[in-house]
Amino acid sequence: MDNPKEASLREQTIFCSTIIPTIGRPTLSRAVESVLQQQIATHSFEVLVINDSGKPLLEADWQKSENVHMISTNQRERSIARNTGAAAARGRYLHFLDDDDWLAPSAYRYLYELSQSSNAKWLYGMTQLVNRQCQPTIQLRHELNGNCCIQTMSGEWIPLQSSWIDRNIFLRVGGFNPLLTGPEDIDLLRRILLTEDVCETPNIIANVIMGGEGSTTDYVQHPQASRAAREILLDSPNIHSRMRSSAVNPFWRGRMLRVYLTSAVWNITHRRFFTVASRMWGSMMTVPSVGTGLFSKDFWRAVLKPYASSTFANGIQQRNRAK
Amino acid sequence: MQAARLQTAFNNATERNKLDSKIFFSYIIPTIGRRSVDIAVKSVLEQDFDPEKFEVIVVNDSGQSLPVADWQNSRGVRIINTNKSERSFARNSGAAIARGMYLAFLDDDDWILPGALQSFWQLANQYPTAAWLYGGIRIVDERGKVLGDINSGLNGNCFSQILGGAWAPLQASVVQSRAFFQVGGFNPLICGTEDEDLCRRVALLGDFSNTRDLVACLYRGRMWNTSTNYRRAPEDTKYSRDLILSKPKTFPRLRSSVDSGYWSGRVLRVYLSTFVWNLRKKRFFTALSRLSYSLAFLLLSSKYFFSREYWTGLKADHAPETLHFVMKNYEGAARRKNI
Repeated sequence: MDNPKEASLREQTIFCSTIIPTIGRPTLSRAVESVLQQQIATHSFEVLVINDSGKPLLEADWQKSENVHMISTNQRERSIARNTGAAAARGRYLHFLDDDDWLAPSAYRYLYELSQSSNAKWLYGMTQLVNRQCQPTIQLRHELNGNCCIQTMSGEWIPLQSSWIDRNIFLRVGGFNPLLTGPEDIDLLRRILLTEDVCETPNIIANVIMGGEGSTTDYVQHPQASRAAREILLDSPNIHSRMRSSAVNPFWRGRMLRVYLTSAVWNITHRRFFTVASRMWGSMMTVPSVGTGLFSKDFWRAVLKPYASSTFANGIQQRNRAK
Repeated sequence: MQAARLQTAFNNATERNKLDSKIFFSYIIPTIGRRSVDIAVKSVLEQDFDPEKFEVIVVNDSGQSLPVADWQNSRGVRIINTNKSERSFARNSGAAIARGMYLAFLDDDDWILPGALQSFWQLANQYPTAAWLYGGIRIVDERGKVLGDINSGLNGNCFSQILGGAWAPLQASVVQSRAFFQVGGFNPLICGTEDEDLCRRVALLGDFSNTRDLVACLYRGRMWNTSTNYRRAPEDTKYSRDLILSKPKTFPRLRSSVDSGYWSGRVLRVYLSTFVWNLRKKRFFTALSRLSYSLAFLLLSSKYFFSREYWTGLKADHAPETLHFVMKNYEGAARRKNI
């Protein structure tokens, strides 16, 4: 009889599937090549290029690689394209890369090593931001580990490009929400964090282009869509306990209170009065857990001021220091 | 200036529509590798309909290669391999690559009847704005014996009927591609009743149109094997209904589609059952919301209080013209035969 561990290894010979949805940008070749050049056994990864441009792609050398598979979707937007790639993927982990971003040389090795030491279902590393001229700007180190539900509900984010996501969990949470364009990555992270943890490696994984110019993201709709997605999550049964266990100090407990209060205001404007009552109840349930933190400056700062992620501020500081 | 821009946008959209309309129907058939997929695919390919106007997409979710078959070389067939991702992901993947104006979903053990595409074509031309077109479905057993024909015959806004349990079988339907993507496709979190869930969401968005023609065949009977987890179905149905009731503009759409005492009773039942479901889930504020809508609906339906059908709708477990009654008769007959 087969050893179950061996049988499972045989079934899952592919460790990671990188899914690259594309609208036919010329930068696609750079993205695919950056994966194909990873120092990892060729049979243990695959690249799924989802051509959502509605046209055939220009011929390129990477199309001859045995590790590359192509699927053509019919201009369906990136969430649907990515979900299609995830459905076809054979890897234990899913990695989503955009067609204008690219991987750092040893990215796969760092994430593979992390997967050997961590049971977290979302593994990630640092991100090098670059401008449209491909010049490096700042490095992002998120320092989120374990349950960081309240941090993401407050506005923290982990780039998909620098992450490996367990495929089973991805399918279990229903994949990307196709009705969201823009915050679909944050929404996915939040839904996974309802039950699972994240783990970080302090190495650069991906180079990500930042800036609205040339981007397919709808940055105008982004805040409203993000709010609406957060509302759905606040209705989840275990959200309160997950937020509470990740709010480890008065600052994050203050953020938790603010999440409920801002949601109450949002629901008042949308005339969902029973939901307002529910959010007020959530706020009241948060206060006792704050305890002596009520007298802390951090708590009130978190309640009263909008969230400003320290990830970007730290990145800028580090760059200035290096200069 | 703005008018010129709008005109250009309109022309572009029209041009795009012309291109899109080259293919009218995309039949999406997810399969777990059953041999019966041959029958399903051939039932579409053998339709007396312009082959340029439809395509078949077989989504092989078995995780293995499909056995070789003639239809795999057919020009109108495309195969996409997914990796045991379950039917909602598989169907959504098929829809993502589809090029048709209307999407149709057929299981690998069902088939469509001759003339189905022609019936849908006529219906689509007659009611081009309808989001969901459907016809009658025939239920057969392994010997080909007809167990029953079902057609609920709904047209227009039939949101209250669909939410109240009326059946517009997915196998006997085509859905406007635009409407399918506007509602987000199949919800992978709902297993077993994901077809009814999609139908509810489309009913909230747009109108239905029905043909009296029989268009599809559903295989049931003693030898029938299912890949559906029916144990989850009742809970998933309640979850799906609750999600729909949380959406904006549900109440006015329900009100405007109620056309009889029976459906008024059914809608009240839906609100009351979701009230109880939320109480059990300890979602007390949502339960209160459902209760308040129940009371509002109760007041609005007061004109039906003295009608018997209102109370029948409120009490009944299943709406008429559903698979439940056909299978109940079939199982009853089989039991009597054994005795």
